[in-house]
Amino acid sequence: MKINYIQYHNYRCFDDVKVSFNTDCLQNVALVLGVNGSGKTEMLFSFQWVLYGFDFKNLREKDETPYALNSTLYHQLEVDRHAPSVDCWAELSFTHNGREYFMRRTERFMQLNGKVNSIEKVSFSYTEDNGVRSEPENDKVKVEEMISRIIPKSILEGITFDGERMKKLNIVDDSSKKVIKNVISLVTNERLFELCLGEIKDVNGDINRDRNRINRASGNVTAEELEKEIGELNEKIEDAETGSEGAKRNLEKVETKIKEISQKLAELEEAKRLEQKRKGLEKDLERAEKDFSQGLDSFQKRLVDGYFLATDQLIDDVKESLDTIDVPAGLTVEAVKSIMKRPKCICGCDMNEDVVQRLSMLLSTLPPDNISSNILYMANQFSGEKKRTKDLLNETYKSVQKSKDDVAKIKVELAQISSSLVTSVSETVRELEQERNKLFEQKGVLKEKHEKHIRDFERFNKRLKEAKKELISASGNQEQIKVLIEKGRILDKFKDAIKKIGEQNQALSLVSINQYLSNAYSQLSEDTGRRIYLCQYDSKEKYGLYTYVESRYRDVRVRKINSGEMKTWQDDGLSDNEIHEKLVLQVAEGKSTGQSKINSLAFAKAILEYSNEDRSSDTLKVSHDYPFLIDSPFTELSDDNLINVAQYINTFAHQVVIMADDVSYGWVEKYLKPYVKTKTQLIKDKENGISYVK
Amino acid sequence: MKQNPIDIVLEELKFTKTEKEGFMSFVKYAKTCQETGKNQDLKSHLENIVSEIVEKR
Repeated sequence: MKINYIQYHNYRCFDDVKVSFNTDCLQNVALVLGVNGSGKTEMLFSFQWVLYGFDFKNLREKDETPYALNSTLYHQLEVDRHAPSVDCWAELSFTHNGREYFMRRTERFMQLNGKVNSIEKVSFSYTEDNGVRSEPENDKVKVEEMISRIIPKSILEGITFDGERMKKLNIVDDSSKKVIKNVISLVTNERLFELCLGEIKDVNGDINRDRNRINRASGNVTAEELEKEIGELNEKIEDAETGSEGAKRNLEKVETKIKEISQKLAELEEAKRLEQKRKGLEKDLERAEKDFSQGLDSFQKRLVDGYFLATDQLIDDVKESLDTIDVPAGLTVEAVKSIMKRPKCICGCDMNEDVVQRLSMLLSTLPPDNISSNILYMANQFSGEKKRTKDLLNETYKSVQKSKDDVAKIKVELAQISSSLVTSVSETVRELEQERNKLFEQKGVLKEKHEKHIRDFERFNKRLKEAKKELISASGNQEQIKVLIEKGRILDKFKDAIKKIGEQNQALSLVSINQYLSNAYSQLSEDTGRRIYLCQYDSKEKYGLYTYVESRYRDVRVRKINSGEMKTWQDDGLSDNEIHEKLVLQVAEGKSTGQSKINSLAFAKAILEYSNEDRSSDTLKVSHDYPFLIDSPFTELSDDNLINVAQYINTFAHQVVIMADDVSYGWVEKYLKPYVKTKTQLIKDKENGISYVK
Repeated sequence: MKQNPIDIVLEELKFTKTEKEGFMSFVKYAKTCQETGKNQDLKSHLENIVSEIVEKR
């Protein structure tokens, strides 16, 4: 993508101005120079306004003019109710994949009932293959969709930098992590996975509806009910996944706060001793809670056999009925028949009519073989199983009870320490302690929630698998249903693969971005002893941008090797990259202002280099070729940092648009001049507050 | 030779040759749709792929 020009009419501080950004591969820098207040930052934000609209309240020190129209014209509208409506617009022309596009955003301002109102419209067109400009598209939703395919909003935020955004990006907090996350999700093409998953869900929905229809038509109530259950289970699984992620995020936030407070407390001498004891107890508590949870789990598993305990009456009934049958044990039909063939009975009587009649009666009551003794044997076995189950349940229950008691005991001890901290030490400690206690409570609730979501997720998934199997047998031999079930199975497989590949793609992309980041930082930073790292594994710190001193990193690494901790990490299956991150986080540090700017510039360079890579043969990712737009890149930098940025800023992208004041450009002109193709000078007319191009 | 990460995942999930071909065709088509912004056909493309896999069994 290459920007050709931007043109304004009544827009902000510009009257009728057109600025061209003509560049080529050898001279790829377009320079816009102007003193402070001449409209450089306004120009930078106008790219956002024209493409996606922009809330001018976000502009620092511009909160008195939160509108796109030139303020003189706006004030005229405010005071003159007969004033005609006024249009302001900006048009951006850019070339993407060999085609020239034109995006114009117009806002018409008018006075209505004493207030200034506005209507906004957009117009998006391009040059067709025959060289003719296409009919403009004016539907805002469609235009935004088309624009976002070429240059998504988040990317625009990642490649247009003003001083404020540079600073924000570099403060490791939730908002900067969010910006970095959005930029990375776009350059790593997470959208492709979302698109695939959406389509799979859609087709799966159709298949489920088809199966329902067929089952309903054939009156197969069981299958219909199972289909309904499967649908509900799928929804519950999604809810459990979302809930689990939310609880995990909140849990992490609470844990971080607890960690911060604990650190503060540990620093206070008077609380140190109690703090150490607390730490030990917390470990004990964790262990006891784990034992409790495992014990409870195993108790619940054993409860599956708990029905044995309800079989006393059944076994008694079986034994009683066997007692009422007056049949000697081991006596079979075959044995009685054989006796009847003899001249005398085994009791010694002659085989007369009376004896034959009695034996015949016995034959009619006798089971085909000696089933009564088998039943008795089974009843006794059952009895034994019942006893074993009872013993096992008792045993696991005792273990659960013990863990529960341990947990309660440790909690009492912790509460005692907590109360000692509150009653015996300073006000600061008391306040911190109380805050931490509240957080501990929150942590407990969140942990429980998170675990419940995970249990639900596993339970629903297990049931889903069973229900799908049951559905196959309940659907009988209906060929159509069989085919639909098979299709559903294939789609499930596709879904699993997309999810896994998505995760893997992100991990690999972050490794690659980190490499670019490291190279960019080495090139730009004067501090050769420092390194930069973008966090990618630790869920709490993910997308945080950190710098560290390499020698400290090496020292910690050696210490970890000597203490055996490194070996433990390796045995735990951590990769080299994960171990590297753990070490970096231990030595990560704060930054000075000049250094912050270098960090943000290195990040921008890494993102641009990564997204501008050639991906013609890549199955998953797309190449973008974004330009780079930056306001005041040379201020707040000095010495080699300044020289490095000036020397290498042209390597950031195929087209680099720089807005700078004349003074700071003067510092770096000798480095930058060879790469500058166009230079535009903005002049401010102080009398009417209008900027124009010299 | 280093194995493609996608192949590793598909092998792990025990994709058959036909399933793998179908899956790759779906992902490649999705990427094309994403680039051109025309994804109206993606759903029917996926339906056809799945039907073909079932038929080939």
